[in-house]
Amino acid sequence: VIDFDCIVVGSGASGAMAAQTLIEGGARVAMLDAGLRDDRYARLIPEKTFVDIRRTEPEQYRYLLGERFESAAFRRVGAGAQLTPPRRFIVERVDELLRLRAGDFAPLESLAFGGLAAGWGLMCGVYSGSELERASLPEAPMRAAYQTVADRIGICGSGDDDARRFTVGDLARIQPPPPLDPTAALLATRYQRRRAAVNGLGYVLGRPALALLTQPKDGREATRLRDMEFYCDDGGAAWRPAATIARLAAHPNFAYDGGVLVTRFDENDGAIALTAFDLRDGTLRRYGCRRLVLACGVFGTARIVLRSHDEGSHLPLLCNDYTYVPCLVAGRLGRSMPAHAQSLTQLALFHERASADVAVGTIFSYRSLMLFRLLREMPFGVRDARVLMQYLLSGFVIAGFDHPQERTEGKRVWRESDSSSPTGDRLAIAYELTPAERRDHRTRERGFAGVLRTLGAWPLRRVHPPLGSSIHYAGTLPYGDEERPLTLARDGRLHGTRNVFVADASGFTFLPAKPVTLSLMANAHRIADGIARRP
Amino acid sequence: MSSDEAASFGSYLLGREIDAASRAAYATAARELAYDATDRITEFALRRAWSIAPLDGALALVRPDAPLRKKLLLMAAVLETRPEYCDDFLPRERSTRDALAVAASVARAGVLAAFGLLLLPFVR
Repeated sequence: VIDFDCIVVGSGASGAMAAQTLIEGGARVAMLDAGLRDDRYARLIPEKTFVDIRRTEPEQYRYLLGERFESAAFRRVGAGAQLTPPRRFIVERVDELLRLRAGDFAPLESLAFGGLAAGWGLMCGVYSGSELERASLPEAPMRAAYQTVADRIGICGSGDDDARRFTVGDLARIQPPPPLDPTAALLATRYQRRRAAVNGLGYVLGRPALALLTQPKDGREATRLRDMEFYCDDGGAAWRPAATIARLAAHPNFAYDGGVLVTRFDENDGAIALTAFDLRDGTLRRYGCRRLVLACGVFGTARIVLRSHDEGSHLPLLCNDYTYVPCLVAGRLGRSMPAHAQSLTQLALFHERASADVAVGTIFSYRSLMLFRLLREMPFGVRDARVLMQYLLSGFVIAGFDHPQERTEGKRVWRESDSSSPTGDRLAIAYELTPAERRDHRTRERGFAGVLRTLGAWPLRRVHPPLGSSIHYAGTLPYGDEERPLTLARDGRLHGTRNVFVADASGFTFLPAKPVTLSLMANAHRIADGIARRP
Repeated sequence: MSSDEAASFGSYLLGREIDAASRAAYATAARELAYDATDRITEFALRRAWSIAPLDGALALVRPDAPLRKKLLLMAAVLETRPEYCDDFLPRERSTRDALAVAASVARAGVLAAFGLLLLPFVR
């Protein structure tokens, strides 16, 4: 048994933020984590732009297709389909160790060092007061926490466009946004011309907030616009949890123990005993601490809490419904593309019906993903599709739409026994939108498509990947003031315990459509700050 | 077999012979992904190179995950990551005349696919 003041379970965005806050508050912290890493690809990728690599590197297939050509395999669209070979470690061993029975729901889980945030799209969004209230998050502490997190990770965005209140809000010390690529710049220009009409329909367009440095910060470099965001982290310009944990590792009060999968906890007179499965040799390990912070993602936390505290309950679940629409921007067809750019979200489109009812559209240029991925979706022979797409690609954008989600009866998760699983169990998930939600989402998507047409981006078709593909999950252990089992107090404490806290999005009682990662980091900081202040 | 396949598929996709290294890379990739097995449509297409285009066009409409399509897409992926052929995949500046050529190739693709749809029942 190893003893610590605080144990943080999970090294993702929430775990990294919670650990940093606890360390800064003077606690001795251990982070327990499965911690799987990419040990093959990162070192292979040369410091060149995507186009330079394509033109000069004979071994490029190793990281663009995978050493075993795994990325070239014919695969249907679904959660994780966008992961390139250097990012596939994010889902390594998940099927083996995190068993799931989820029907048509297709969530993405991770056992990676950095969790899902090891490959997140870096887009940030500040929740409005109404969104915070519906999510049961206290406004004043969250506003302060947003600023703390923004100062830690570095966020770029526009301080003066129409979308500001949805993206950076009132955050100070925001870095300037990276340059727009020519296709996005054309859409932004058209928006300025047709702004009154678009705004009249309830839509605004602007630059997204991104956890990407455009100026150096804390030893991390500014983006060099190599267009390699889908493959590597470009000198640390993109914030990943690994950046924060690397800094914490230098602190004498911090210990990181990778290679363990925490399975359950027991609390006895306020002292916590943790049981973990050692992924290296399959043995069980035990840890002790005074306070436990669960930050291993909504499903990871649900597994641990259900094993520790309950046998048969069903938990609620929230996940943004996501749709994407490939579009063509006619004015950009047959044009060249600049070598220096970035592949992240270029523009964000927001539709506000009420202050807590905001849907989000994100617009990417299809720049640094391989063309063959598009060829297999085309209704033409591969040769003709190649010729056609070479012409269309410079005007090809992908628009993704996220819808806000609230709790309904048909969205739930529970634990089942599974004798074939290394942990002896699995999660089961049922996730159904209500007919009214489906109708509403489709109506809203038609509205988004109409605005895109107004801007000169012509939607080709709407693709509905399986529910769960948005990779935004929340709501399994909802915040509440009553001391009820399987719910959280407002300070993140798991009801029925004295010293077990949950610092990920499990407590949110509503899931806004805005990107969730910044808010879950801010919430993790808020909860850890409360723990650090306890006697 | 895979090297012959690679030669046929490569020259179909790019309109010219591809190099030995690309053929070898395709053979390795096909082995890794267990794309070695073939079906009657692929065999037919490999024996009659003229039929690859119509069969590919028809399968894109009715059976996009057919073995022939999977192999052609794999060949495309392999060629796309060879510096020698990257200009066949990267976007390029095109004139209005080029746009007309692209439109003509799309029209030709439609005709070929229609022919392929007629051909498919006999090949199966």
